[in-house]
Amino acid sequence: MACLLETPIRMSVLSEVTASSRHYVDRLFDPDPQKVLQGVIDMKNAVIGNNKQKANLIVLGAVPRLLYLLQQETSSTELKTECAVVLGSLAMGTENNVKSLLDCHIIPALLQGLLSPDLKFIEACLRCLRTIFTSPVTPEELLYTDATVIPHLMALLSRSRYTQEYICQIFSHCCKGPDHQTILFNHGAVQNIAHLLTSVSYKVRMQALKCFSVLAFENPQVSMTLVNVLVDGELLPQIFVKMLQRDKPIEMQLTSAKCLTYMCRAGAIRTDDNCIVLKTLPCLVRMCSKERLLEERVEGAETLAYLIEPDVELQRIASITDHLIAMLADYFKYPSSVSAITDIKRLDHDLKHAHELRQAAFKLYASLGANDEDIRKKIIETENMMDRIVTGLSESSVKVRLAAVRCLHSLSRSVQQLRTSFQDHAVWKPLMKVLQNAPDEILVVASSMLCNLLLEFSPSKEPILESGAVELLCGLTQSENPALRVNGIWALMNMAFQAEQKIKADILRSLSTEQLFRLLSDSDLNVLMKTLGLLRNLLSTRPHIDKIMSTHGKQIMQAVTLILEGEHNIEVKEQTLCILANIADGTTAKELIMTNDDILQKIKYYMGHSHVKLQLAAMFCISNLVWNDEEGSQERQDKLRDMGIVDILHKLSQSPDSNLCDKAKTALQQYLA
Amino acid sequence: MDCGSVAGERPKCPPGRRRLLLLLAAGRAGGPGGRGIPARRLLPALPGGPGALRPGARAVRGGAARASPLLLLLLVPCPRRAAAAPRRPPADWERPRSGPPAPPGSPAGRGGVWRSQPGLAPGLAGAAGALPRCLGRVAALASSRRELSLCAGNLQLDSRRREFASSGNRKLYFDTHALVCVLEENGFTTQQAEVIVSALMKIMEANMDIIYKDMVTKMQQEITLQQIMSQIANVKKDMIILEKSEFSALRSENEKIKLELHRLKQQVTDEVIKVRTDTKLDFNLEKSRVKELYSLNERKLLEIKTEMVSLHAQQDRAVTQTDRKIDTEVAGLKTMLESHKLDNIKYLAGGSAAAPFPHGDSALNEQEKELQRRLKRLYPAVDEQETPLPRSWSPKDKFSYIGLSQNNLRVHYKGHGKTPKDAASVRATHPIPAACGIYYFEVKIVSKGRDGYMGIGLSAQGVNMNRLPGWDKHSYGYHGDDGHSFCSSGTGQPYGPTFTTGDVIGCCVNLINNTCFYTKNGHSLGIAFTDLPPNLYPTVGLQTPGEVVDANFGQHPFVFDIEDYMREWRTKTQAQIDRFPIGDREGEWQTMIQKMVSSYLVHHGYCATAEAFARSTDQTVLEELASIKNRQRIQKLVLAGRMGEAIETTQQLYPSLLERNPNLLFTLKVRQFIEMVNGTDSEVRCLGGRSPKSQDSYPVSPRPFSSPSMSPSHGMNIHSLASGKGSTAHFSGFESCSNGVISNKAHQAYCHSKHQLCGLNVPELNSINTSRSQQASSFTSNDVDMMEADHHSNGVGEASSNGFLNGSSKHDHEMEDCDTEMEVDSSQLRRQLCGGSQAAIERMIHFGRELQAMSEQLRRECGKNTANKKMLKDAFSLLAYSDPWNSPVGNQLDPIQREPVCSALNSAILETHNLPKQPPLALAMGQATQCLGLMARSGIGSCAFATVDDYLH
Repeated sequence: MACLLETPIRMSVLSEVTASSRHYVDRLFDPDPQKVLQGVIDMKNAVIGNNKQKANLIVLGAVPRLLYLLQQETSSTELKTECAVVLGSLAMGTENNVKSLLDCHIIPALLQGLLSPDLKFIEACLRCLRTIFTSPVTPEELLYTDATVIPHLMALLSRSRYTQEYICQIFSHCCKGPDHQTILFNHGAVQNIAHLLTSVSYKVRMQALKCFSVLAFENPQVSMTLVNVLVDGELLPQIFVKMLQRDKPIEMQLTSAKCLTYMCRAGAIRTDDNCIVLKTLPCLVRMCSKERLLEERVEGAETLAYLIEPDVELQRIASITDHLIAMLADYFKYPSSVSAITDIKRLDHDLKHAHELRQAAFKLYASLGANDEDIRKKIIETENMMDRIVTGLSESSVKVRLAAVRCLHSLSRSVQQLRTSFQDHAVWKPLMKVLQNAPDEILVVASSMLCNLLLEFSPSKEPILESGAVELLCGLTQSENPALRVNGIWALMNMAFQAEQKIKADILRSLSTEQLFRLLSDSDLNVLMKTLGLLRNLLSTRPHIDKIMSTHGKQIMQAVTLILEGEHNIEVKEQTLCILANIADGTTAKELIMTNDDILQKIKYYMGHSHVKLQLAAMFCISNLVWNDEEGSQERQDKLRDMGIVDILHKLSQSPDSNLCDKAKTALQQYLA
Repeated sequence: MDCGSVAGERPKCPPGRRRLLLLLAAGRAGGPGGRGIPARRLLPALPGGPGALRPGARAVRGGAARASPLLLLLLVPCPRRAAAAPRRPPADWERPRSGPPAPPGSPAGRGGVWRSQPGLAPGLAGAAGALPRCLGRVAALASSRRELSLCAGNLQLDSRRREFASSGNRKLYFDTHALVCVLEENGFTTQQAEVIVSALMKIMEANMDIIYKDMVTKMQQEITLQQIMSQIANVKKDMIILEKSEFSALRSENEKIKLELHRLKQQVTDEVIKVRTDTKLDFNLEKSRVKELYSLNERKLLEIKTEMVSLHAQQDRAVTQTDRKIDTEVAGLKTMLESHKLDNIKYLAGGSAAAPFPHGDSALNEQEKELQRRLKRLYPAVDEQETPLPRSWSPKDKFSYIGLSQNNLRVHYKGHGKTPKDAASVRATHPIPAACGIYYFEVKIVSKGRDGYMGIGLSAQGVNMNRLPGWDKHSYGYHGDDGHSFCSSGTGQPYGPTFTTGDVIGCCVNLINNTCFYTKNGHSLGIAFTDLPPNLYPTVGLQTPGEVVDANFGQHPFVFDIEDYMREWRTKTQAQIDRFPIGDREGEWQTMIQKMVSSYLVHHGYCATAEAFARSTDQTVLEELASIKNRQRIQKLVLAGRMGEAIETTQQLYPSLLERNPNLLFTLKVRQFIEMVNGTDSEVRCLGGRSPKSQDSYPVSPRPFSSPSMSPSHGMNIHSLASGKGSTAHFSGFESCSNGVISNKAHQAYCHSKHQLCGLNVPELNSINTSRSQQASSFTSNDVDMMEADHHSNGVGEASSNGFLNGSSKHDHEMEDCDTEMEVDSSQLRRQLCGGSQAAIERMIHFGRELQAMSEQLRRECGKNTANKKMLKDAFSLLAYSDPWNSPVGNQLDPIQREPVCSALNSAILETHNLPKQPPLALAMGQATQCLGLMARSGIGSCAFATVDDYLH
């Protein structure tokens, strides 16, 4: 009633607009309930399909009155039902309508209405709730605020096929994220909805299917349960497979393919299961074909990309299925030049979907080319592919950019492509642009791609260096995001590999030793590994070793000791020993090891370690130290012999590992020579 | 004393430190001259460790070096300056030197440990290593030093005494002059006295000298005492200092020994660790060796296993082959047996029994049955009589380099395979019928042979077989070596992946849009060819030795889900039909449909329905209602199996009809004979005692048929009259007489109840006619039956064989329901010939003879008619069996068989009235069916997915 008081003020502003609708509202206040009912019915008829009328009624304050009538104990069920129908009709209008309805707290009122014994009324309430919840302006949390709502809805599922349809639809729209999934799951959503998949009504089946697709998404618990659910003696996956049949409506095929995809990704179905390999995958490929609607193509491609992302075999199959790669090339042909002239509506439609199409295609290309060189080659050979990606990199939509970078990243794993296509199209230029001020998600992919572009055989390395990559990457290593840190240090590592002295010095200067130490104590194992890799790359070729060790020798030795003493896994230790081996290769740097008995003892210890890799790495170190041709080798040999290294060498020369054995023998020869 | 202090201070320094000092002093200052050389040699050893590790030689040398400067210092009575000089440089020296071993400015924290390592370790090691060995020497050193210092003291004393002795302030205390005087007094001359005195003095002097020599003066004594005392104090001090230094030396020694011990301990632990790691290493080595051995064994085992398996497989293959051979032999023998059996039966049955079943069926082995089933399911629209499906490779249509085996399904290459000229292909036995709609076959690559140049595809009749599919015109192929598709050209287009041993390649021809796509291991590879010509044969081509492929034309389940693909196209085709534009004249369309419906109702005699329908849709019925009823009545009789009555009625109502149509009459009579056998014909039934009421009214002779209420002559008269007058009069007349017939309630009721038993759906229309029970009953009985009749009429109509098939297949089921119930009701009473009555049998045999005569007469008049002959023969062969219902020819007794007769009769009646012999609806359906057949023949694949049946609900 509080709202009602405001209405006169609003009315005065909009008097002329609303004059015609006025009497509808007035009739709601009639003392005769019969007249009120008639008024509501008239209002219902006036409102259907008339957005203007809906807006007028809302402005005139019909909503609070309708809600009042809806909740009033004294109202007849018929009146209540009609009220709910009118409210549902109002909600069907624009988003603003829904907002105004929400402002009047319509949801609790309708939920309250669900407790009524009258099925017709319940259905009207549910229909209205469905319309409101499917609107993008409604916060889905509203469904979960009252804990009793979900169980009640579950109980209503058995009432009629309309309740089934509406409730499933509400669930599928309001289930966002694992929390909601768990709530629904715990209230027995799977069992309650499963049998709806065999309903006679297509709409119910469809909504139930959609419900499962949201429930199973990235949720192993739900997925595992779904696999074993029996409906009419058939397992749920089999029912989904049946829904994949080609004579079923496209929407159904697509949604059941999604369900199966999510179940597969959640680990409930193996990727080599026939229902994935022979059913879901071909179905999703079909969804990408030209005959489908643009929305279906987008969804199909995205789902397919998600499905095949982790599995090489699926990628291979998808790449040969129905010329998928060529099919995807069509995604870039929107808006087509023909439609622009002939059909404005079509153009509008195309434009709206163009971004989505492109990003979906990029995503799918990225998944396809993630692991297999042949597929990458095929993708790049697709007409104008590189141009499209390069254009995609500078597109305004973040989604497209991200997808393009991901695609490019996938493709950049190919050595051949790095050296050819990537160079021809100067991919690094837009990439460096993307890296400036990009959001984190793009940065992660773009920087990991930069890693690939900075590989020593990549011809893009030079120009990228010139455009200030070192500073950028050093900046990344200080990021909060561990993925960015890894990528940053990784790229630096790649950059340092067989680089010139100047670059190495650049890296050391802009990274600073403090940062280096910070990275060495990073919690992320990958960061540590890559930092060690960077050190190792920095410390290669004799002059560089001596140069760097002369300036940073102390810190580096300290770091090495630190790591060797710390609790680290085999790989880390191996990497560290390799660094030592590199240091031992330097002319003057050798002394740093030789004078450090602690390190020598450690090397000795690792020579006798049970792990062959560590033995080998320590072996490298020793053989560098005892190498004959160099100055002072005699003394080093003596010292090492005194330490008992020679004995170990003898032992290792009997080792079953041929590599180790050879190394040991060469080292021993150094002694003999 | 200075020296003493120098010497005394020195031992205060700890030995290590001192050594350092000394050595450095020696090295740097070079004060003691060239003697510093040995020390210099040691210098580089100092910061490094080697000295420590090689204590032997170097420590000795070091010891020597250490001793020499010490001696020098001690032996040379250096001035204070000289002693101080070596001391300062070490301090200065020490500072810069401390740099290299200990890295400058090292960070705090753990770095401390780091730093200490290089700095301390060598020092400790050096000290520890060097000292124990020179310990004794140091002790010796100390003692020798003491000796030396004492000796030095003595020397000094000597020199001082000498100084004192040579000072010369001696005095002689005696008066020589007095002595001379005494002597002179005593008698000596002065001269003598002087001589004596001088001599005396000399002696005295000498004596004095001697005495002085041995005499110590007091002063001297005191001085000496003092000196001695101080000496003693010195020595004492020295002793104390020495004692102290000795202690510290001992302590340090102790320390050193401790360190040594520690080091030894460490060495021992190292050794232990080493030994331990050694053992560990040995363990690991041993472990890996064992592992390797294990894996080797396992591999061997596996190999043996696979060998076993392959042997098993070989054996199995051999066994199955033998089995199959045996099976075929047995099947062949069985067939032979069956045929002999049949011959015998035929012989026994007087040669009149025909063999209605294709007995070859039993010879089909399981696989072929499976194939048959699958092909039927996949391609239901294909008429295999007209267009057989490919089932194997053709042994005739192949190049000589191709060998076939395994029922012509396996293809292998047997040429040289050197150049592309050695390529060879084989086609399937038949082209792909268009009525398939979608055709699919699979080829499994058993072996890729030398190079794997296999081509799978399609080619038209007559394309050169010395080539791979795809190279020539009207030839299409997908090649395994490069994965390219060849579309009537020598150069391929990149198409799909390559394929090799173990792959299953499928080829799907879409005859609706004339495209083709391939599959690999069940995955569609996308469209390969478009605009394909019709009548292509499945083809494979091989080019190098060792290539073997197996075809699957439906013998086994396909890897690719072709049925799913077909479903898609079925849906598409049906959607296309549903959306087919009818045209803008909606009203006309509507009227046309209404006309068709009403004409259909009229045709089959649903007069009440037709009337009602016509009323509600404003239509006019062309035929008179009475005429419809008459036809209805005749049909009812025929369908009830009462052929005699039916013929009689027909002759009454349409007198000239049967005379003009001797063949039809003959057909009716034959049917009558069959019904006699069945026991349903009215003549026989009354003899069988089942219908006592009419028993006496039926005379023995068939000709003078007399219904209780109506004489035949009367009917004839009416009819002749009617025909003379024209249709109107005829119908009115007929109406009157039909009343009589209808009043025959016993028959009607019987008929009615019987058809009720059939359990047919009573349509809603029934309710319209409830008031007229007879019509209602007739309606009920005819509703579905008429449908059958209608389909059969299609079937009988010379062209529409398809319609016949479809119609019967659809309604068989319902009719079977009807049958069984009829049989249930009849089984107790008349499962015997002619209802079991002897009279009836006689009557039947008599009738048979008449029939035989009629047939001969017919042949004489109209020439040979094989259909009639066969009909008669079949009917007579019923008598050859003791239980005709279960005999091979028993299906003639089936009530369904009445329907074609019924519809033929109905059509004939209608024709006499210049009405269409088929209703337009049936005609339209027949046309549609026909059209589908035509589509199939002209290669339009959509026909596969649009059967008329789908639209008959």
